[in-house]
Amino acid sequence: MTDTSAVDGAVLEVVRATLLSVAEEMRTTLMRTAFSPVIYEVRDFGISIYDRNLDLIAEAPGLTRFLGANDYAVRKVVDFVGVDRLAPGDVVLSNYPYWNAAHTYDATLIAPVFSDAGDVPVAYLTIRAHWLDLGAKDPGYVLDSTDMHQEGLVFPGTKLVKDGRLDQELVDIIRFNSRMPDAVMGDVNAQLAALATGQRRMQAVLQRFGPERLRRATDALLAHGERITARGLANLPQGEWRAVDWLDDDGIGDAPIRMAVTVRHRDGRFEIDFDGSAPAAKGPVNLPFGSTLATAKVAFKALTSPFEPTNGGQMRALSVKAAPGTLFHAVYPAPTFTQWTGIVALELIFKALAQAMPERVQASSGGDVPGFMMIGTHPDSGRAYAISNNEPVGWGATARHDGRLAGSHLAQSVVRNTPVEVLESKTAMRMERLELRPDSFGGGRFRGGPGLRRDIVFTADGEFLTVAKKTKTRPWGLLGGGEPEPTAVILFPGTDRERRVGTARTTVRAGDRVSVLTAGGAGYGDPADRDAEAEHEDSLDSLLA
Amino acid sequence: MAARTDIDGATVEVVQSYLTAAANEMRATLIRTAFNPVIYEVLDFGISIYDAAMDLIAEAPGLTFFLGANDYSVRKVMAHVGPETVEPGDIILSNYPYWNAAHTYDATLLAPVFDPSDGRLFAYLCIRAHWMDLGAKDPGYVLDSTDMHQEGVVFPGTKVFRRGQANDEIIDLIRFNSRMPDLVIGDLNAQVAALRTGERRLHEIVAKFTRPRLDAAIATIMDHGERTTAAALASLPQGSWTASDIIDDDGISDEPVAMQVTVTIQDGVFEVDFAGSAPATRGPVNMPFGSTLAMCKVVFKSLTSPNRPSNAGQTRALKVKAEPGTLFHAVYPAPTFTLWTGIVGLELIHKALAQAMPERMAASSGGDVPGFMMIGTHPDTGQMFAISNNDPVGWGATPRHDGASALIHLSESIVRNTPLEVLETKTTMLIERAELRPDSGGAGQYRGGLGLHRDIRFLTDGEFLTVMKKTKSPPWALEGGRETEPNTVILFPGTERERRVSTKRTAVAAGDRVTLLTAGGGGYGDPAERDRQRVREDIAEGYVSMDAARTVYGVSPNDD
Repeated sequence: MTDTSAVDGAVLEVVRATLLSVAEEMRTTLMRTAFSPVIYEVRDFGISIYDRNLDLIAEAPGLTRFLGANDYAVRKVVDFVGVDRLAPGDVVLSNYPYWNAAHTYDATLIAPVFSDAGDVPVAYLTIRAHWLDLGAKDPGYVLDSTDMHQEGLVFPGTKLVKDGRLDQELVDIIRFNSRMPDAVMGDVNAQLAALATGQRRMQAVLQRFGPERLRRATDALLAHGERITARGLANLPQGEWRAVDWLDDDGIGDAPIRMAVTVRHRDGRFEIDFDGSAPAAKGPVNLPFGSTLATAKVAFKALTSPFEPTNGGQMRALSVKAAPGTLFHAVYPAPTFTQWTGIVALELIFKALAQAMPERVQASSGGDVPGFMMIGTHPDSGRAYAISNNEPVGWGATARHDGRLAGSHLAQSVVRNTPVEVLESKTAMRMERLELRPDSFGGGRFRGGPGLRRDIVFTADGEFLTVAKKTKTRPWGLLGGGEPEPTAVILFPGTDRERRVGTARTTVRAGDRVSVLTAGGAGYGDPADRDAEAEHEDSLDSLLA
Repeated sequence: MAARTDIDGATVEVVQSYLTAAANEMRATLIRTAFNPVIYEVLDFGISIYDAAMDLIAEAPGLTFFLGANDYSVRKVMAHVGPETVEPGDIILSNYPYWNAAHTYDATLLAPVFDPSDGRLFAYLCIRAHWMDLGAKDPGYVLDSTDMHQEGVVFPGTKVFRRGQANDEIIDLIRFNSRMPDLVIGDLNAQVAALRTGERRLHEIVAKFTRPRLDAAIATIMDHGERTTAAALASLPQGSWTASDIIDDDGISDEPVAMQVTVTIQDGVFEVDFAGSAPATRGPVNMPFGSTLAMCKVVFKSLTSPNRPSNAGQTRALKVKAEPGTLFHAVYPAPTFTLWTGIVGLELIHKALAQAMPERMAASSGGDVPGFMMIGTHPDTGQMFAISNNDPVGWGATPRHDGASALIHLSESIVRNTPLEVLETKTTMLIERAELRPDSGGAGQYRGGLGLHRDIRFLTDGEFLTVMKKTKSPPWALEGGRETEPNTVILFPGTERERRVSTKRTAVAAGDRVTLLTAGGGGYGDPAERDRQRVREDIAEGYVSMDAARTVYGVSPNDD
């Protein structure tokens, strides 16, 4: 065990808060300087800080699954590059899915932090953000790739910045291989600016505390994380629970894809095992193992240390299993572009846990992140655009209250949707309607939150695509709660071309319409037990037809 | 300019031979060290040497289009990189189609060469070779891309070697972005080895002759090239001639794509203008302008200096025009993967010239480079393969002799086909038949050469693709000769799945068969004028059936 005696509790708190504010300041820089709304509006990014051993010591609010993925990526990438080959002023880029724990367009930049004295990094800063285009086979989202190479240019672990200088050759390679080079390079520069902010603040931290005290403090933080998680775990029932759910399809065939999970809690260990899930799919719904780990971490942390800032110590009791070559452990060259699998899987883990602790787990939400995107050439600028939105769903009811209405899915609760104003100014979509859907949720003693209805009319020709992977099976209720209709996307409603889709790419013309109907959350408990006044209020709020 | 009078003819000749020998030695190194048969068997590469002004001073036999493309590429890439940023030992990679004048898989490595005595850059070495995979949307050939980004990772002009040291990060990028990284890196290293060979030889040359004499010799060689070309040009008829043709389709729709060329010879200038050709197509048949230039150089040189080693002086009188955004001048992000346009385009230029000088031109050959490829996993190694072959066609008849039978198309006459043994060991194709096709040569006073009949059976499952762009219009004949049947691919002959295709990717199962019938060349002159004895010989050789001898030539084997 590390000696922590020299760091008192007050200093420990100051170090912890300082590190969090470093991450927070990086976040502010990123949001203020990013070019693409998916970063500055949607917050589709993850910012984390690691200690010398690559254990997480601080992070900023972002996409939870990105944050967990960073933990995996930083180890794989540093291992590939070699710690001994890192120098002050370096920034390493990776988007190799199987190491970077995400699809190719979620690019991670990693910067080692050195103290004045040492020649080994004392910390690492990591920022992952969604880039708009790296030359995949289709612009925007890729829905039906069959190998990694169709998903864009891949950097295994490449020093984009060397000794403080941006490598112009690599910048050229990014620019020449992207359909939207200005937006991508704008975002790269925003990430670099945020890393520079982090570097400055980390140097101040090192000045103030010294590398040795910082080391002891972060060791103590991690040890504390481990202890509180152990305490959290001790309050949970022990046993083994299993659940199964289905993903709509792999983007190529129509067959549903089986997802199975077994959660085991015994003797202070918490194991999430995806044995029984489908083998790797032909289409791009496969999860790199690091992405599976990140999904598992979200569920685990929500149960064991929901109110604590995250650190690596909190995850030491968690183990995750998925055999290489299966849905939850993609290996090269399996396609991984549409990782909605992780979203559905997060609720699958809760579904297993609901058997053990129904009082701590909510019923299923709408169960997905129904995404859409328009791709086209903007009439004002003449430039290609690809702007997406992640639609909210109703959240599931709990043992104590109704589900939240139309919120971003729990897999990415800090992420926001793309504002109507952004969609309308940066694409050729006009929103004709955006409202809560009456009766879209499961009834129950506590009802689920309602989903959303959005009607879009296109004002110019282009391509429209949707990604939704849970439209064929209903969100599940708990203890007799009702199960709502699943999410639906209706292309060209009221015309003879009308059809329902989940994941699809379609050519659209000016004047065409689509309707997106997102699922509400499922109910909790017998609807007959619902409080009459609550029912009356729902009527007044027009949530019931 | 160096004083050219300082140099004697003998020295100039020695310098020229020395430079050509350097290029040939690079070629030998490349062939001996390359990993993939498309380089060491097919010779799908181009090796050239430039002076400090990036004018061509020597080249080694290779793919003619590649050689001409190098001339364009070296200038564009150096303009991007900046000549002031290069150092001894640097090697620059480019495969950006619009600068590199080829599709993305034809990667060019460029090495500046410095004079050790004063450290000044005095030459560039350039090797272009076909790489097996750079992560395009499909493995092997891409037949239906709609933008450049679907055609693989692109390097605009990137140093893979810096001061003699491999740039491992760039090599990793190539490795991680290729489906066949070992082959690609093997070929990259072969190109590097060949460049190093060339660099050593150029160092010897500059040490032996010293720079002022070398510069003077090179200037003399180029001036000579310009002069001999001007003289040859003056002996050609003056005027303007237009011809048109189609290519089958763009790989996406079934619509034929119009090609038109006007050749004008006037006032010492040979102008090739593609006005009237289709706008850029949606699919990957668009030609980067440098590729169009390369195609024109092949024709121009064959008319004006066919027997001399190439140099930049010889092409100064050539002007090529094609509007940006049209079929013959692709601009970003137009797809350019299946550049068969240049093959058909080359004969289109001949077709225009045949109006002016029928006595110098051959009739159309089979008109294409009918290519096929199998992609699969090899049962012996478990490794992926993607091996192609360019089938030969019959050549067109000329005013003086019959066309050659079943040879690689004239646009790439030094290139070879992939030997049966290679196809059968490195893929799971069994070649059941490869023979000349009787009656496939266009009849005429001089007969077109015969095409080939190849039957393939697949021993395992995989993918099979064909690329050919001239199956809808027959090869043209001259002066009353007969046209021939165009190229044909028959998938699954004799089964209910049988169909005729041209450019197509198909899944095949073990036991499936395909038949490839390549076109013969067009005939020259009236068949009735053909020497009877030659007809009888053709019958005896099996080139012409007795039936055709009777009906087309009016010859019965018993006549005498």
